[in-house]
Amino acid sequence: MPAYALTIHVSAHAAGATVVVLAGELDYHTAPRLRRAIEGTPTVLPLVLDIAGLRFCDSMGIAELVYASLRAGTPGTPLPLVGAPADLRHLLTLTGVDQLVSHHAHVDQAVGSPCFPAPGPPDRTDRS
Amino acid sequence: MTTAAPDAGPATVLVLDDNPTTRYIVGSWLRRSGHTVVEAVDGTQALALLTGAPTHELPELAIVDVKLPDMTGFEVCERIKGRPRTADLPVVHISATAIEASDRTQGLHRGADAYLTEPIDPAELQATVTAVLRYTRARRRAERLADRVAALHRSTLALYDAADADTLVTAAALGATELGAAQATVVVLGPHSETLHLAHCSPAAAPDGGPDGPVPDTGPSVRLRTAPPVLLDTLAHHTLGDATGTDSALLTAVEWRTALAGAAAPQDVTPDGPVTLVVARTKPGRPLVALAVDPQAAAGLDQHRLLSQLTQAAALALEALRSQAEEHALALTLQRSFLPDRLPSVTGVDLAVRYEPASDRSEIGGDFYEAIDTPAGLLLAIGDVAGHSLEAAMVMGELRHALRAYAIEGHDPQTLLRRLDTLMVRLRPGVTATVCLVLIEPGGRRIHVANAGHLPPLLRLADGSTRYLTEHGILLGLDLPQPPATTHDTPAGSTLLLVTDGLVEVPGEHLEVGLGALRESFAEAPADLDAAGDLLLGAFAKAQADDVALLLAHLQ
Repeated sequence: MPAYALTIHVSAHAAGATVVVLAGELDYHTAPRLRRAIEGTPTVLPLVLDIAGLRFCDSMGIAELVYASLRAGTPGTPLPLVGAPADLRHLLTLTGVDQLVSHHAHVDQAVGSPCFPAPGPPDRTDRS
Repeated sequence: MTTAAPDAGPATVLVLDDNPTTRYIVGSWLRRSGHTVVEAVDGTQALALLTGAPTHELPELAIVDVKLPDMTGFEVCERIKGRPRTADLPVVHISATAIEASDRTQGLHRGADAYLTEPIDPAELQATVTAVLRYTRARRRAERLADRVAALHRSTLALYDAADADTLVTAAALGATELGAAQATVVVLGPHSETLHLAHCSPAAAPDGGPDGPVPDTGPSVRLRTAPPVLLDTLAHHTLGDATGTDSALLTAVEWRTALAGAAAPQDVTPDGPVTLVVARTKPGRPLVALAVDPQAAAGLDQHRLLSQLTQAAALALEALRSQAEEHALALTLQRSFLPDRLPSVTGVDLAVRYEPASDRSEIGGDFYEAIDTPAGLLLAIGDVAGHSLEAAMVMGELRHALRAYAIEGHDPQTLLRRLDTLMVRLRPGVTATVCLVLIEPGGRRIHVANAGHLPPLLRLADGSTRYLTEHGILLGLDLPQPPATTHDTPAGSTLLLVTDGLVEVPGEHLEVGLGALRESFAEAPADLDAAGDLLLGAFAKAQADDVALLLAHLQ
């Protein structure tokens, strides 16, 4: 079995969304693979990123998350992120990218939110 | 093959028979055909002889009497075939009496290669010996060739794996010895074209008296030397001239020594005798890669071809190394040209910067810093364009120049960030960058911070207390608004530290931890800015694969 620094698992959610599950390291070397994976998802469906397994993310990784948020639906709609580790939340806050995303504990919660795909204002409680 | 019948030459033959007459007769027939004969009278003596003989003196064939005083010939044969050292030694049985066909088949079943029964016809013995030697030698040659092709593959991989010229010449010289060279010297021009790198490899080479000290005696030792580039011209003169491809030449000892002496090259890397010189050149105008081996090593056509292929592989690997070195040097030059060559001197503010490019083999980064004297005060900037490509470095250069232009127009930090954002969205869509601006008011008692998603600036007061100035907006390149700059008081003796993320972003380590460690180090850093810069760079930029920039400002 090949060893991947970043694993990307794309699936369709029954509620009508594309769920991309990321695990490992999202950086300069692996970001282009995420870009291609996201480009391959249907544009008409909202996108949910499950990043609970992301151990590392650098500025290229942040740029990819920004790209994903811009691609997912209407401008101003935050990109639902599921299970963002505390460290990554910190980085998202530092770079201001927390404006572009919303945080959720579970995929079902992100998808099932009544106002999906706009689950409310970005979570700013962890701003340092 | 180079000779007409390479497998028909004389051999050393072991004759094992307890009967002195048979030994004498068989031995004299063999000697008459040019073979060397060693004799044994029983199985024990024969096996001891085979155990004691050095590898290069091992008999190539054993003629074994079936009936011996201490054991049967079949048993001797089985023992010979059962030892790795003699497993491929062919055995021809002879038996003194007419025997059953079952004895002959038993002998052959138990490992013998032929079976002769007395009375032995001298012609039949000669023919059998010739035939057995022929196929044994052919098989050995095929096995050796297969081993050497495998060795060539291994060496080729090692060549392509080499990260510098010394590793490359070492791999090539070791490769040549694996292909059968007793002595091998490899000469290449280093990737920066400044000096020749030589590696001399010989199993008998004396321990290196150089700075690395003696090499433990495990396998062939390699001596590394350097020489002026002119040596390659001399070697080219003996071979390819200016042509490309591969070539070889036999140099007399005098020619070889003269070539080395003429180039003031070290003499201790060479075999004393004549050498076979094998060279390769990949493209017109490129320097040769040269391999000198003892002529015996390149005597066979197969050996010659393999050495030639090894030299070619070394030339291609060197070419890859050179392209990489050139690309990296070009990128670094460009990147440096994008950074300020000096900082403005402003009364009341001391500045120090440190910039460390990404490690040698990785690509270039997009970190930048700037300090601009404006009417509203001294403007400090630090930033990072996402990515490690030439494009990232170009965008970095553009951002920095645009920042200078806008700053000279006198815009406030928030407006500057907005303009840079607009510029990026228009000219470099899809690229993002983080930029932090700090405007130090004249007099130095207040600063205005506008941070577009960059690591927060760190402020140290005269009492040694430190804090991150965390107010910020989103990174640039997204066409999103930036918040107004925040204002902070900076009492006399305050010091500011601006860094890029290469300094604190370590895979497997939490950003929080990195920022905390940086803050602690900065709190305890010396007051002298240069000393503080060196200390921070030394403490944090050790394992970094990314480039790193840091900017220190002390407000008197």
